[in-house]
Amino acid sequence: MAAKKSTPSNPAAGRRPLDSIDSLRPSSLPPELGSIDMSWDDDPASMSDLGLLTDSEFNLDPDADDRPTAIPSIPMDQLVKASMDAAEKKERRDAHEISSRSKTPSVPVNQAALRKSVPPPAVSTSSSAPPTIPNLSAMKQDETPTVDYRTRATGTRSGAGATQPAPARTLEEFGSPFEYVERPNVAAASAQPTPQSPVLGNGFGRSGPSSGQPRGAISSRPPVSPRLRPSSAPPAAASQRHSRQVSSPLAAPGSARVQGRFTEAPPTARSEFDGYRQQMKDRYATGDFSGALQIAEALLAEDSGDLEAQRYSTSCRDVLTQMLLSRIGSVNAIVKVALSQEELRWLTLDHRAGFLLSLVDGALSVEELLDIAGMPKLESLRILANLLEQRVIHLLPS
Amino acid sequence: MDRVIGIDLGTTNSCVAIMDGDTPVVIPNRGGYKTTPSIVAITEAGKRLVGHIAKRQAITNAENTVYAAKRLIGRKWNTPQVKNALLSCAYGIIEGPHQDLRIKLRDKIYSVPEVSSMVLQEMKIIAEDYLGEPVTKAVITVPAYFNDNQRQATKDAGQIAGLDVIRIINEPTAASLAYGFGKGFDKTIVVYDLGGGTFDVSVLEIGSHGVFKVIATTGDTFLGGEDFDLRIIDWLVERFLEEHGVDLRQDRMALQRLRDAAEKAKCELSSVSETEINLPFIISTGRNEALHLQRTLSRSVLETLTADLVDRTIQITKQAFAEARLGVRDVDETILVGGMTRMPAVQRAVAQLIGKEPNRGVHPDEVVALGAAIQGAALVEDRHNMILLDVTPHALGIMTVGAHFEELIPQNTTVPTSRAKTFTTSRDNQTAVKILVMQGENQKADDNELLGEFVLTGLRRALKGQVEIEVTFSINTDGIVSVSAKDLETGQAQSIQVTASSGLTSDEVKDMMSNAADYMVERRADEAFEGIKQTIETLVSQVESMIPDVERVVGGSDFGRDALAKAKAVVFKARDAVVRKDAAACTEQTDMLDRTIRMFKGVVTRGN
Repeated sequence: MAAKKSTPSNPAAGRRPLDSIDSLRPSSLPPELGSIDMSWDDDPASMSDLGLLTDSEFNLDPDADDRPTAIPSIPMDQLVKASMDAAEKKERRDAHEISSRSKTPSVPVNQAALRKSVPPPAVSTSSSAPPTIPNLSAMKQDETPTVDYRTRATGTRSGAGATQPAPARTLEEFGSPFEYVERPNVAAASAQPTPQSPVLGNGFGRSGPSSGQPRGAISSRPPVSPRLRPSSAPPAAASQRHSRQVSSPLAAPGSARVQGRFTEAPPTARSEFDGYRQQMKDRYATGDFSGALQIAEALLAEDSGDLEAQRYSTSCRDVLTQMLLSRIGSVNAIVKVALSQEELRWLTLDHRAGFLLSLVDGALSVEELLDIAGMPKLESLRILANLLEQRVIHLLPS
Repeated sequence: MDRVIGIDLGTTNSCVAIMDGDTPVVIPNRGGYKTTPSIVAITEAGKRLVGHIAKRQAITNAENTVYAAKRLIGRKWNTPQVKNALLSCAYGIIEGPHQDLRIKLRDKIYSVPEVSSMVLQEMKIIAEDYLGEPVTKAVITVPAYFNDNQRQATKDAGQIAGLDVIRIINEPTAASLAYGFGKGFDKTIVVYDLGGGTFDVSVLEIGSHGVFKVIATTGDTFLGGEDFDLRIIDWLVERFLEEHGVDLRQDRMALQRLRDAAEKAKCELSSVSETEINLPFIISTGRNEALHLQRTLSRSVLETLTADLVDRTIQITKQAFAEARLGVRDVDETILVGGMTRMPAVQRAVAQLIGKEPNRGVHPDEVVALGAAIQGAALVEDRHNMILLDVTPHALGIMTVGAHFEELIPQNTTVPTSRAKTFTTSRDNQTAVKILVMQGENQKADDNELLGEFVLTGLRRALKGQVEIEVTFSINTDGIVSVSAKDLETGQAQSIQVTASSGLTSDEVKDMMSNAADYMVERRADEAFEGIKQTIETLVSQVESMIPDVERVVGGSDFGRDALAKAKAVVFKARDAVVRKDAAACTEQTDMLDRTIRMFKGVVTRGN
């Protein structure tokens, strides 16, 4: 198996063990499996043959993330932080170069870039934060909330054409809607109406998608590419640094509050939130909608009037909802339990899945179940999709 | 001739019935149930849920689910019942513009009649789906203790739902009708009505001429089947707490499941001696494991758990006998109404009290609606022998000096009626008197319901007690109360017509009717679209399944390629029309799909 190195110092892993790839395998192998070579994926020779970088070859060179890489062995939060720092430095360098070449430094360039971008849809302010949202103020800046470690580890390896099957997952792994990470469904994602459609996939700014890399699929390479951010991230999302230099297009119209917050907030708080904000945008740009949603919700928990976070939150929810709906199929289909009560008890379900199952009476449709579930729609859909995949329920045409 | 439906608008469940020839029948809803929970909810997406589906999310979405709206209908804001409801209801209750009350669901404010109208509208839809024709007339039942305002509010609810409420009748009266009483013999009967949320007991005298006199009615508006369910829930929760140290009451989802399971177990225990309650994955612990609840409940345990509740109903029944000044020996028949009366312990307790077995010929859940349907048919078919003579539900009178209530028309007086009484002035040189028209049985005027007031001026100046004023109360068949006051010496007179008020103005009612009509149009359109959508899905699937055969037969020819391309285009357009929810385009594509299938069938048949 790939990405084996457990990092006890990883704060994210400590907080949410199920988010870590390490939690998906036993900490020690059973004796009967001891003879099996579990390290095939990390064999440096075989990886070199495929043109991939090994863990030891991985570095944080800003240009390195334009290359396909193997799963880095360092903890994902450190990787992201390092990548983002590198990205920031590079962007500062670029901005400096532009400003030194132009009499009107950076502003026209940024405006043009931002105009081209498609923002996440404008949203109503009614989106509510689910109870599982972490308290942003309680999170340290260097903690990366719920990195989609698992999916990155199991995604298609671009360039190499090699795919690795996803490890079997249990419903517990998806304890929170924000832990859920799934490769975006291309059809569902691309079916998003424009201009509300988020820019999916090809987040690394090459001339086209890498071979075998579907649009919106999450690459196994490091998640942040500063060079490509302006084109791949949703518009103003392109860069928070831009939005500080110019009036933020995400904030307009009626953005006085947002702008005011940027200019009036104490420098420490501002930089702290900017860091998360940037992470949110980066995750969104790389197709990690679950991660972006989690950060957006955390930002909203701090400031429910944060329009930008609201837009990202809604956009992420929309995409994730579409993805799950495409897995389920018709919302008009009648849901039936496929197992007996006795068989059900042997499953590993949580109480929310148990609750949804208790509502299934053989007469209600998916849509009606979603109406009465009493959970956020995304959460209910996620549970239903998993129950369907586990063949706990089946759907009949209405 | 218009069909008239009979609706039992209950506190917890409602039921609709109709006369099928000479037989009243209850109409089942889409789920096959003969009763529909009187619960309305608004989902997060703004969708309206009514009935079973609303009940199933009543705890997890408690703030946006209205249950037992009947306890609030026609009440004024400053009444004890409303204060009580403010404490016990999870949904928002706010003061309305006319001293009435309103309910807040999500971001919208609804009047209580409006909420009740949603239940009535559901009943109307059930009847229309069954009959296949529009239904506009209804007889609705209300508890015998409802005052005129509550009755009017119920009428308004019917009107908002698009129903012409031709008569409001008392629930015990309707139950009696369903049992066929009132046909040529005098009887005294007791109606013991233990429903889901309320308990009412009424003593009726039924005359051979169709007069149903409610001699006494009493009850408890907070005692019903839900209390029995709660006892089971408590029993389950306590044992689970002992076993696992987890209080299931703290989790809404667990509580919702417990409630559903408790009600199911209670119903089952009416026919079997023990039942199993099985709730897997009821709660998750912090250690990523889910706990299961599995327990067996026996009838004897249930009876022990609820013995005091049954006893309370018996005490209230005795109180009703006392109010009616009757003994149990005076009772000819006992009728059991309400689903809870299926419980053997309840039946035993009533039989023990009355000294004879109660009537069980008609389903206790359905008996009231059946009676309403019988009355509805009698009204339109002009069968006078079956038409009830309405009675005043409460005494009517005026307030006199010292805030005393002076009764002019006693409770249970058959309407139409007219009564007069003479009063005198209470002060020297008094030239005007204020007539406060009230309804109720309390000696203290303040404790009764104020229906209206007017002033009679121009009285002769004289010492107190010398000027005589005659006050006359008249009630017509529509229940409209006219009160007049006349100075007997001068002939100076003044009058008022008291119309019961639901707390809504006529404009408000019109607006609500319009909204309800819009909702109906939208719902019917959605249903129609759903039908077309299903047809399209079937046809598309047929076309797609035929494509390989067609490809095999004519795929290599220009004709085949062209036909297949066209077929795929039709399928694409049909799907697009469904996605766009374009009913016209869907209909058009249905035809195209039909033609495609016919053409493909021809090709395949010839090819084979």
